[in-house]
Amino acid sequence: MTTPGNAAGDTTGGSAAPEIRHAHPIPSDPGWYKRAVFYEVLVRAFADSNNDGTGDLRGLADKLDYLSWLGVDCLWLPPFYQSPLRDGGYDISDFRTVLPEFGTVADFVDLLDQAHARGIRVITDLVMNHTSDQHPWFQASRSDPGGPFGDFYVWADDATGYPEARVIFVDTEPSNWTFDPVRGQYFWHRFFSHQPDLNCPTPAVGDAMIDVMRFWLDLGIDGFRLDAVPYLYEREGTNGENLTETHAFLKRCRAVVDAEYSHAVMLAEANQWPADVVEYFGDPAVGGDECHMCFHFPLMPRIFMAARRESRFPISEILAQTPAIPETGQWGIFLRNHDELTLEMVSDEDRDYMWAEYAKDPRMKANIGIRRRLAPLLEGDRDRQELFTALLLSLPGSPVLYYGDEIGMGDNIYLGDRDAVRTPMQWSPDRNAGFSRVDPARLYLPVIMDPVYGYQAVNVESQIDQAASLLTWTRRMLQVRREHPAFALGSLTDLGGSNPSVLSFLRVCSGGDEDSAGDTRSAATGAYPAGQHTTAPSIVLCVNNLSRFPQAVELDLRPFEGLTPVELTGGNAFPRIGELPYLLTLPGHGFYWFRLIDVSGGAPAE
Amino acid sequence: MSAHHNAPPTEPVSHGGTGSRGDDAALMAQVIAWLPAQRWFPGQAQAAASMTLFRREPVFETAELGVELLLLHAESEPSDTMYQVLIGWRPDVPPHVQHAIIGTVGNEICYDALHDRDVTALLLRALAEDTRAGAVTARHSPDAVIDVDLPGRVLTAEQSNTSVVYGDQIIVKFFRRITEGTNPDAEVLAALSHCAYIPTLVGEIRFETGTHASTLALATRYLPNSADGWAMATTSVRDLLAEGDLHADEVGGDFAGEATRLGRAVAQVHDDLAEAFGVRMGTADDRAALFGRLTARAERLGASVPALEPVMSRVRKTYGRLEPAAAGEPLEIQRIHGDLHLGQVLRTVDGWIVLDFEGEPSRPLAERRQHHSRLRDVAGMMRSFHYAAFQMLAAGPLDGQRAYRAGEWVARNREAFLDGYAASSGHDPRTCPALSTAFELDKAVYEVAYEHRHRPGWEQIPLAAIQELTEPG
Repeated sequence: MTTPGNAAGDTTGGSAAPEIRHAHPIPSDPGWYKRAVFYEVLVRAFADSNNDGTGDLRGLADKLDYLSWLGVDCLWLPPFYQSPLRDGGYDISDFRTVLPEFGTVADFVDLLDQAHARGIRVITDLVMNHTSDQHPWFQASRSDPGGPFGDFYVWADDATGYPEARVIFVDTEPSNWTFDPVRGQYFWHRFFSHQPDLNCPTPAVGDAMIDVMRFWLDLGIDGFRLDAVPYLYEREGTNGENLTETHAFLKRCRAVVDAEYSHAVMLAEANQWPADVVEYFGDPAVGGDECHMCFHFPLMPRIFMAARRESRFPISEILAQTPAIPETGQWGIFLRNHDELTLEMVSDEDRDYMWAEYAKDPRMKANIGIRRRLAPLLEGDRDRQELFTALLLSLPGSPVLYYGDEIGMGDNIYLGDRDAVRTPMQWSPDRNAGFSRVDPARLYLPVIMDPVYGYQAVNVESQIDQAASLLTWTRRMLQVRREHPAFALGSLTDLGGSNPSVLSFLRVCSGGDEDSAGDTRSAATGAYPAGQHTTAPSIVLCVNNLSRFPQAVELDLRPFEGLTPVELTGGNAFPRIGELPYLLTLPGHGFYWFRLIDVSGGAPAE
Repeated sequence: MSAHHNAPPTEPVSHGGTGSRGDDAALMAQVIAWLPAQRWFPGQAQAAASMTLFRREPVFETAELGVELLLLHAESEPSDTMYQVLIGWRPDVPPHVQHAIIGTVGNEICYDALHDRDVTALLLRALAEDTRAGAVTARHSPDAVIDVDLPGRVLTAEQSNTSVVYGDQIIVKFFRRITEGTNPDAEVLAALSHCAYIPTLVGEIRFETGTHASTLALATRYLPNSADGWAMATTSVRDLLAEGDLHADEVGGDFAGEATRLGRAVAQVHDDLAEAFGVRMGTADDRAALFGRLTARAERLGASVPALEPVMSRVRKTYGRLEPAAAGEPLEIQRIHGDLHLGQVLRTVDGWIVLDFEGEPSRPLAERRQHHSRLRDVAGMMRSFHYAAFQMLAAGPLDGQRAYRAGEWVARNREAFLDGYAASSGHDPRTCPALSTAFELDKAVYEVAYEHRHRPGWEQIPLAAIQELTEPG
């Protein structure tokens, strides 16, 4: 007995295929994702091992030493599956095959093994909402309505169903229904008309998707980013978002993960307001039973807006409106990613700028938005790049870096908004930025060549040995973050203060700091050694000047009277906290990270 | 007002013992020496020396410490005005109170009790339990929830009062200078308990005898993580002035969104004040009286402030024109804030909050509670926008370009505020230009006099506004 998936869509012979090697897992470390720094890397864009002009899995594997040196804990790979590539690979035509130009499933397992050997985990994208119209399931469904795949998609005789569901890609799609001349019916699609939505209520569809999950988890991956989860189910009379049926299906997926793959993480892309996103963590009474992680989408534009307004309130507000999450949950936060959000809300004067923006579909917003990299968005201003990165690394949630931002790579807006931020990683000033030896004309996209951000000025090789480069600075900050569990696990207290341009907050957790200055994780496992945590709470104080002008701020630190702030990058002790407001001065866009410790008893020094 | 206070007692009235804590005279000698160094005390040593003890009232007595309330009367001030000092007594003073010691009287050390966390804890408990000690009564609001274990800490930045914050949840403001009668702030907060744009009242500590009642302290919900409107607005102005050529609506630090939301908040507070305290349509007599007051104030200040003299003919002529013009505008009279400016509003993570409904503290209490046109508050805010923009230019030489840009900021944010105000209340101040101008002019005249006394370098700010608001005389 084979599932329908195996019969029609599986070109590798199923998850138990003997020819596929399985990667060695990283030793168990529950909750690893709460402490991890994620790194989103496009296989196509990172390194080209066979010099055909397109990055591939082997090329990525060759660069793992760099990623290990940088200090990232987990890679997130957007889709690298078989696809006609009409939606950046999110239009999958075979869930179990690697796009040939990227390599093979065996190459992928090899990448996993090599990453795991360095203590780096790997998660991949899982698209459960839709497939490509080239997928064999869809081809079978349209040609054989009575067959095993007949109800794998959402078919109707007319285009009148689910009228409350919005059209997301308004500029290309007139309707969520498209007529199929082969079957003589309309099919439902929340995104492009070449991406038919799977009909989740069909039991075999849910089974098939869980089989796909098992296939990749069996190979050894460490989790999934779940694409477009709010849209999995439709129901008449609703807008087809965040339905209880969708949550029930996610609970079913989580139960499989918990029972069979307890090392794995489920990270949801639910681009909604935090109060709604929280639902995707599941039931707090059991510590969360849906996704382990959800992206916190509104935070990113708020950081940009705060710096623009020179006011902490855009950030403070969103932090205040972010509800508590279940015990096993963690936010994923980011400044940029491959699927960029618009920043037009930054100039919106209305009180409800964020509500208005997020009431609409964020993918729609992305459709009309700007996709630019961090460095050019910040006008190449090093101080602001550092401030933004410091915020990313210190606000609650696991940070997700986007490849190339650690060296301040630029973008090429003339490539169109999707490809502008997907150009080849800049490794060196050599031919093709060291990305590939191919004839430059054959590169999948040209490397950035402008005088400011071009590969001859901005590349890994020129920064890696420079103590003052953005790259080594970023690496150092990742190290500092790792040394203090409060950054990852601590509670958040916004300290306010009379100066609206200064955002100050505390992160406090009971775990205690690691007392050595370096990375004490096991190189092989990435795990924190047991028994090295002190019993004193880890208290981290972050003070950020969102203004371009120098600022003074007086903080009320009296609950910590007698403790001494020790600056974390240099280890210098600042004056002890007393009865009076604690005065700090910051340069324009400056920031401080302190730990608050008791130095009176000769206790832990830096 | 009671007859008693029209003629203040020449002999101090005291319940204080004379035993281990000395007699009143010994205590007063120490207090008089201590007062001039207190930030909230407006006078010098001479003013302190003239203080007499009006009341000495025991408040708490525990095994470790005692607390007394002193009400002091200043010779130079109206008979209904008093200064409040809470005196703590201990045989030995713990380290955390050392800095608040007043002196040694009898066998014990007396100190400013608000700096003692044991005393602030007793005060919070008194509020939570509706305690009465002698003439001192503590009472909490009907639905206030008070956690008596919250640690109290005294704030040090305040000018004229002393506040204690309990665990970032409750703030208790002790009025240092108290006036007999209903405290306007307490009255408004109690009456507008449903309004989202004012602090929530938690409780009140009062001094009450058969003949005298006044508010000693007011407890409200604390608003953590807030910044006042002045800091917010000046941040925006600084951003604009640092740009070479961008306009006010183009710079990142644009304040217009905040100004609109602030306008909405103020309008809602005005609507709620009208509902709680009533509103009536002013008559021709009211209008005449109003312009009479405005003109009289201008004449009085103009006679004493040299900088006003050259503009007085313009001021007179303008009032003369505005009064008949105002006849066509509705003059609605209601309870207002009374001293509204950017320093009286707080930006919190939930939006704007309007604070301090005390009116101008230097005015008699009855006057502070009087009803006026809400346009007076709006004019105060308009003047504050002007100040926020032009104070940055006050230090340097006149720079036409910067002044132009500051003016642009004012125009943009005035309009934004008024848009928000009109949208919320349906009452657009721009439909009453004569009254609005008259109130702004009155405020500007007062400001010149104020700056003349306190900050002569800033006189030019309101003087420039007078030039704009008036026509040649």
